Amino acid sequence: MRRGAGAWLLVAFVAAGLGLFIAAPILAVLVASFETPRRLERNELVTLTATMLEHVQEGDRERRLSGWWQRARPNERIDTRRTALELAGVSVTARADDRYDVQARAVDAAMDRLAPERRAEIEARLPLVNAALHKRVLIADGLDHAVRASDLAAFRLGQSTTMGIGNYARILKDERLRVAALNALALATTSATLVTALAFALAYAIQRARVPGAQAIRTVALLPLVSPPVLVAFALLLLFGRQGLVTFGLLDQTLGLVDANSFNIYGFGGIVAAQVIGLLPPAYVVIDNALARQDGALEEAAVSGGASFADVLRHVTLPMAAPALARAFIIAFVLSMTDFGNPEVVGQGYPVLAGEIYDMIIGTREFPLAAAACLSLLGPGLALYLLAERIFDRRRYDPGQRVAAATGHVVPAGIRHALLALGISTAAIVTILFLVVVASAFTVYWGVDHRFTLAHFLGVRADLQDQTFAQSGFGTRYLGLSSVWTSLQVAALAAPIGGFVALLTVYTLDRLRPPGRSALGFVALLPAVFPGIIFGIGYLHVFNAPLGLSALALTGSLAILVLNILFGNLFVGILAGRGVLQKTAAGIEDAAATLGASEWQCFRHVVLPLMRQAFLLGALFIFIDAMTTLSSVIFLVSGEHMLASVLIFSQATGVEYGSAAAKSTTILAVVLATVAVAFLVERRLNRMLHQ
Amino acid sequence: MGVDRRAGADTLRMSSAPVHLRCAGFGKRFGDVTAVDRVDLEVTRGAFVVLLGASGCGKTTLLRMIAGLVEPDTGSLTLDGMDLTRVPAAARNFGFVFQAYALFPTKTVADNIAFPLDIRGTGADERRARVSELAELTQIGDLLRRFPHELSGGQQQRVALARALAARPSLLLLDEPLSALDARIRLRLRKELHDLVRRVGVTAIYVTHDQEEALELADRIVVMDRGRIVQDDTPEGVYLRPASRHVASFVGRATLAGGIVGASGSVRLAHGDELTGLRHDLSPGRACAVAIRPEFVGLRSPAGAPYAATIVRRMFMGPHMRVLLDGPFGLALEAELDLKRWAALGLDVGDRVGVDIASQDLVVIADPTT
Repeated sequence: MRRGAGAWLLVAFVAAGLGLFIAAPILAVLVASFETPRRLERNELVTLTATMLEHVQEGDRERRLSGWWQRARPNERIDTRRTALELAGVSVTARADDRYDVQARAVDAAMDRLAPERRAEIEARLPLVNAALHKRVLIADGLDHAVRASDLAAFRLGQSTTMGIGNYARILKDERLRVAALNALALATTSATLVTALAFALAYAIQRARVPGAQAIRTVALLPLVSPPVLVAFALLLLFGRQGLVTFGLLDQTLGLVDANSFNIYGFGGIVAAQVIGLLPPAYVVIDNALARQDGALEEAAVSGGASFADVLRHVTLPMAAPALARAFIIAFVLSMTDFGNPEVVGQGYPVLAGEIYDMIIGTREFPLAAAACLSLLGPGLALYLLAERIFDRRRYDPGQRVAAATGHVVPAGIRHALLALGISTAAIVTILFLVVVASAFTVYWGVDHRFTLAHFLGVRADLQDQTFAQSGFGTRYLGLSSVWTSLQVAALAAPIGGFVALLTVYTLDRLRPPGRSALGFVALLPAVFPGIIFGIGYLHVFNAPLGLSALALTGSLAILVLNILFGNLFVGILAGRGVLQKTAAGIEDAAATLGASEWQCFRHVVLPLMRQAFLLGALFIFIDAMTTLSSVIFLVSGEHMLASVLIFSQATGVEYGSAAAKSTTILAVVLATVAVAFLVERRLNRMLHQ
Repeated sequence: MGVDRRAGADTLRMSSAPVHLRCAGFGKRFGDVTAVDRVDLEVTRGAFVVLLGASGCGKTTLLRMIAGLVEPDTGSLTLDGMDLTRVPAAARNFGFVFQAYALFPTKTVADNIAFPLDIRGTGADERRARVSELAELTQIGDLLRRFPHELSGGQQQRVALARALAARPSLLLLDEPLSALDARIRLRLRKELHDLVRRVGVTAIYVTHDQEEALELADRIVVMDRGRIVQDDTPEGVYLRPASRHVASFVGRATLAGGIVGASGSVRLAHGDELTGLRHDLSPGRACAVAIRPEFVGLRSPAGAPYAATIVRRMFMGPHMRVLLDGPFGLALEAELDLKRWAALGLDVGDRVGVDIASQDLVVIADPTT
């Protein structure tokens, strides 16, 4: 196809977008993970401090340096003077680990021995040396927008970076990180195994056993897909936590059977429970899809060959579903490994690596170590993926064209009943968890005071037990629903733009077919594979002060949230659009061209209408993610632009249950309403166009 | 019910053999649609029966009910007098060959064939022997270690056939097994299938919508339409003595002309002409249809011919020329001539031509509406 100037402009736009907002952050994390810290020599430290101080205004700089030096504590003074002398090549008889009075005498003696000019020269450097040794954190705090976050972090710690695998080695060596990594592995293996088994049983019940109410069971089981973050974990706390309805209210207070302080869901079991329910939708969708595509004739062939129900399962259904089972397991495994929300909420006493990463970023800001830990999280998942690719020859498991449903393969009544029971209990559990959160949104203080209130929605303190605290206004900033409004703004901005960008990307890559399109396509789909935690810290790293220019900084803005969510979910619209384009013959555009349509007219009249559904799906997905995502935006929110999902997480981790529940309930209502509207609009359009 | 059983020599031979399989009052509805409408079918041991009909006529559902893959709403199935109606498919020991092969993609060819034996716990030695015997029979000995996706369609269907025969089934059921194949391979495999099934001696029921396939393969053709059996006869019987307009037009090529039986046994066509010398046993006054097949229509020079027509189109068919005619009797008739004869006539499109009709060969079908 001949490409005009407009087409090249589009290519440039798409390439720039994908490169800047997907490739760069991920690449930055990859590079940073190899930036191994090295303790700076003292002379290097002084030089670096001087460089950093250049970002401080001139007069201000002198004032702060001399102020710090005048207020320095005696031990700091001795430290500083000894260091300044040693850096100037003057030997001091006392060592740094001698008692301070010994050091002080030795330093005084060394000073006294110097010529007056030499002495004055050294003393002039004392404020700077003092700042380099003791005030780096204070200096760094003012430079957030002028210097790259990783450089600042290194400066704080008095380190410089060399390229190497030191960070990865540290994860293995550091006792705490190693334990967290092994915990994460154990957790991911357990959760992924359970969720894969449950998803297969449900998909089998719905696709094969055709249990009554299959549609309802499927809908409820998929509900966590659109739920606010950590809702399941949160609901589990409301039921089985230290103040849970069951553990505290029933078993402890009413029946006196247990002590809810020790008998509760916190820990490994709690995380597994939360993850199994939370990860059920993606695992289910993968397996359901595979079972639905399996040709029923295969099972019938087995049956007419004399196979019993168990034989069919063993010889046909399970082997054919094996690649899907592996895929579901890997997806659940990776999501569990990179999940820090659930472990932080219900995992007390069970540290996992993702949680440690969260602490590193929010707390100590050891960015390279966090980056290495992030990528280590992906290692086992990647290994499993490569293994599965080796084992499962695609062609051998290709279900082919689905011919018929297997009416001839009858699931025995006993098994059918068991599957129905499983489906109903799963649906019931999910329903109860969601209802509990909704109920607690209207409750004064869950576990203590179960009176009805709207206070959590209105943003006033409902905790009537403690009026003095309530009137203090402490912490009221994030009560109420203002953050939901921010989330909605981000969602409303990101969704339509994202849907459209996805369309443009698909059209550019698959129809204009520019050189390098396979690389661009690869980049566009990267966020589907890389967990949000990596994408989030990548944005934090790259957009804090791009190219060292604080004027370009996006951190703390609404824009960074919109961009992060938009590009993080772009792949959905792209995959959907690509599916549409592949299904429609490429000839349809050639047909339009032979009928005299220009490139633009072709896009406008042929491609766009075809892509309507893909656009809607892509936009809807971005909208839902903007309302519910936690893992990447948690590193990007600021006081001004605080998203509801992040607040739900922190309030559920604290004990602001009512406020977290009110936000969760509102988000749930908004998302479900949006999905319903999108569905109706799509059906309406479909009918209009096909009449 | 419109079923017409004529006692020809072939049907006599078949009815003398004991009935092996019997469906009585077999019926199945899917929602509002009656797929199979209380069908009675008897199959003798060793017979090759073809269920023939257009798509949606119920033939596949009938076959699947026999296999036990679809549960009948009404009726019963007996095999050698044993009631199998409620016996699950897995316990019937019938072989089933599917249209899209339905080979297990995760198993090798050998494991596919051995599957029914595996299920029955057959010993390894016996299993191996049986697999190689079947592989030889179906000519796939060199493919045993391959996977289904590495085979061509024809090879896959051979494997499917071997698998269906592995456990020495008492009945072989085939659901349009050749329809997914290329025309050339279909023809070759059709012949091989015919020979193989006869050699093995298994009773077979074969579903197809392809009348040519039915005529070539069957001992007996059961024509179905809208869930009912409309004719159950030998291939010759179905072709030469179709029981209804539907059968006449479905099996072979025919132009149908409506008419009424006259006093002398002649038939007055709707157009007004009268055909004499027809063979039929319909009483005078009866409404009927006359099926005129191309091979009953001869062309000659217009002078002195009984009927005349205009050549509308000619189609070169390889060994012969098919000629479309306008008239006689106001009908669009077809004639087929070998190429020499056509050349000798020296005619072309638009020319008038004389027409001969071998009236004693024409098929007269009672119109069921009267």
